[in-house]
Amino acid sequence: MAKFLALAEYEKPMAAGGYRPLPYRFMPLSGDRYVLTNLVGEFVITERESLRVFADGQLSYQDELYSELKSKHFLIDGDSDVALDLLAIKVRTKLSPLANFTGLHIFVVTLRCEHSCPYCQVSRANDDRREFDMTRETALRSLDLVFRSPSPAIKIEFQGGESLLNLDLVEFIIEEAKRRNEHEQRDLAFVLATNLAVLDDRVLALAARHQVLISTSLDGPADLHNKNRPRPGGDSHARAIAGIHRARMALGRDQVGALMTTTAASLSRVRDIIDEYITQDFDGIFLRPLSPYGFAVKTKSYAAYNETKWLDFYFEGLDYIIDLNLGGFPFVEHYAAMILQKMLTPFQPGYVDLMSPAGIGIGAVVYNYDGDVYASDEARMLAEMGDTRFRIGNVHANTYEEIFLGDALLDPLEQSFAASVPMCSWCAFEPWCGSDPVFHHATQGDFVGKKPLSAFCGRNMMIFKGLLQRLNDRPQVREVFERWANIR
Amino acid sequence: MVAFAAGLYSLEAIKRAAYALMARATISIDPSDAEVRCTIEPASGEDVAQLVRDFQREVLDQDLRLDVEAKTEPLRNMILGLAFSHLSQNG
Repeated sequence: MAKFLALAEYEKPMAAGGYRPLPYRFMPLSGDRYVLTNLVGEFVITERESLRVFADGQLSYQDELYSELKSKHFLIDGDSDVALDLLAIKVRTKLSPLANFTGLHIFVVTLRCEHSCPYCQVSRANDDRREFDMTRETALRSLDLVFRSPSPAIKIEFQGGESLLNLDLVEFIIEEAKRRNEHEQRDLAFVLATNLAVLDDRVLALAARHQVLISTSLDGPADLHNKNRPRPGGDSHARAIAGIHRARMALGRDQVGALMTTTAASLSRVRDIIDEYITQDFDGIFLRPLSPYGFAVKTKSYAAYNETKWLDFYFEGLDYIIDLNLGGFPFVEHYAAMILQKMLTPFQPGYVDLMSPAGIGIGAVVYNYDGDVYASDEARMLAEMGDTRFRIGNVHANTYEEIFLGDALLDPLEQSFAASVPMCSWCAFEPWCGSDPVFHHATQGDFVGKKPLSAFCGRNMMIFKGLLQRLNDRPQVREVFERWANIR
Repeated sequence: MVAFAAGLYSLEAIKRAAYALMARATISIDPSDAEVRCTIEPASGEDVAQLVRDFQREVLDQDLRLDVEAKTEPLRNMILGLAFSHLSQNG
């Protein structure tokens, strides 16, 4: 007697009842190659004809594609009765961060800044005008709202202007937040966004005492950085590098991060920019385009290059970084890493631009120097241009409920929900994408926007396709991407 | 101009395809008993022949998407119901 049943016995349930497709969407990648995604962003790449056969219910259980579709929750058959439960759990896991509500609370402690960057997205003020400083009273009212958030993890980020120009208030907020947290017992963290130009021992002592992360700006090598970020003396780069070294010495290497912004002058320099990050011993880089807000619009910096040029810049940089990794040097492109986390893991990055429902108010909220509350950093940038559509309240005038349950926040959240807006609702990339009502309001005048005309949509679609192509074509790249996707 | 035999594709699929291509062309849709006529006004620089091919293919894809959506809707609702059932249990 045979020890095991014949293979045909196990295949009987599949052969007998056929299969039922689970919800999925598809998009062409290139030529006849299509990508299929399911409810949670798991994906399969196949040819158009195979897609048609699958959709027609004619795919044989003996086909290799059948097993892949079954294992990734694109179909169920008589042999997979727990698949629905598993998929439901994955859906719940993907959406579970929503229940925590706002985790990132940004305090604009001053608009003053000693830099005069033409691309500045926050419309700085001259550094001697104290009326642009947040007061202690405003800070206390803001903290009341911070601790009304149900989130078990609270991150308070100090921004400007140049946040160090109002250091007394930064110190006051940190100490008051920690005092309140003795009772609240949240996972409390602080980030100081600074250009480091006015860094001193007092700042470092404060940061060391309270484990404050430093987030600074580094646009590339000295000539490019100084061109992008003018200040008296023209020494922004030297000060940033010196500050990075001092901060690392005082706080530890991992306590210092940097962000870059792409200007027209950056477009031909992506390798130089990446090399600068490597020289300065960073583990990765976030290749970011300019946003259509603040001085970036006023000085025409935003209009200086189009989406195609930025994508060329991005992919040249991405391929350079991939080659570094394949050569044995680990280095990460952080935007790709966040998308890959969505593609390859059950988890969601907390990046506001890639959230749907939109991350405004839910992922992050901004307490401006004057007490106004904005639904995101971009929302307050827009307000500095005179458009206060995303001002969701004021800490002195409104309650938590009025601010977070008011129409000013809920209307854009409801209207822009990607799963129910034209084109996103049938887009296979929707599980990996976000809805950005502030961007679409700024560029098209409504929260949803016409996606075929949207630079946000066009840029992300090309990045999704570019990542899939690289991941699918080269097994070694897949290994690199899987490592990036699992960085926490 | 592109014409589809009436009933070959759903009007919804044709509308969706026109929407998806709005950056490249303005497409007017004129349905009658016999056919659905689509007049394509390309944006400047667009290759008309390529645009027509892309539009026809997009209509085909959209029709299939609608078919998949209709077939999988009950399961979608069931999965979402399962996913969030614990919320109602927890009150």
